Amino acid sequence: MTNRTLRTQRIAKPALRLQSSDLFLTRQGTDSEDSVALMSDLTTFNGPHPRYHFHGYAGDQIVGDGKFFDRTALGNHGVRGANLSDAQMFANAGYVTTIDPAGGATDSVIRLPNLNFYHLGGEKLILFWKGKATPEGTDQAFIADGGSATYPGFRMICKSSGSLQVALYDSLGGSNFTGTTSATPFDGTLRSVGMMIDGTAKKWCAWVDGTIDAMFSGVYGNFALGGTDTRNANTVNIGQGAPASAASTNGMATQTRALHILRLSAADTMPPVATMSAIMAQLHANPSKPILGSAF
Amino acid sequence: MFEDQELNEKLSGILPVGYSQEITIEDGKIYLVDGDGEPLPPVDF
Repeated sequence: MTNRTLRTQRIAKPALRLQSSDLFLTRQGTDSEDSVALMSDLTTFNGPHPRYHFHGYAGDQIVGDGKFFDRTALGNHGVRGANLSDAQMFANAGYVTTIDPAGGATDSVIRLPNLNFYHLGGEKLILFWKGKATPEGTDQAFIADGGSATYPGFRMICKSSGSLQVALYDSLGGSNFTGTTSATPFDGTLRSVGMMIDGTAKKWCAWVDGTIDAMFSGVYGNFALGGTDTRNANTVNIGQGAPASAASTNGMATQTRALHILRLSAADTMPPVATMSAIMAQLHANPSKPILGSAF
Repeated sequence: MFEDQELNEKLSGILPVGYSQEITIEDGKIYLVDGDGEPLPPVDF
């Protein structure tokens, strides 16, 4: 928006005309009329990034809300599993809480609408989470929409060491696992993790507490070079990998303060690492605000 | 790492102790890399 204003100021006697949501500008001494910007473009520029799938911030929520609200206009609210009460979800002020899925009560997590990230097709996934989680004795699904040939998709894994690992699964038994982060964001204290998976360039990256993890040496790392067909019709789950119908115990207790998920199309360009690092740093400091359309 | 605990046990039986690098499973084989990121010979999975 700043650039648009400066351009107007540089023209001595501009004429402005608004028609059908288009803004036109006429230069002095010319007959031509420049279309400055569609109003819809301006909205995109100043509003949440158009590739958002979900933006939740529990700091503004309270017991009785019933859902983990999506702050975008999409309405992709996170809903409670059948084994997670409203009181349990808001038991920790400032967070939405999930319970470790246990036999007989596995639907104790929060489920977001289907994302259908398509890695093999070149899509990109950007995810930022801030909250508290404590590792278990074995690796567990943390945030995911899959984790097997039956449930293809992506999975963020909380290693027993407290590190983050990301995995992609297809329906034919193929799977790809990243290396594990050097930092250990899962230690029961308030931390943040961010990750991006680029299905076009076949890269990935992870940030812990707003800083790129040391395993990357400042550049995106290779991942799943052959591509993985991660398409699915599953929910995206906080605290579990599989959908409710699977009755899986693979999952963990979580306390989420904020969650951002964006899915970029195959035609979208992945922002460079410096841009993503700046975004992750800002989200870590203020996760209640969305990434703007002007960010990249 | 998998929903299937048998697969998890199978994988843990193959991975070197302390392995923290990338893993690819494709066509019944598991592909690992060494400390420099260079691929190691595949192992039947």
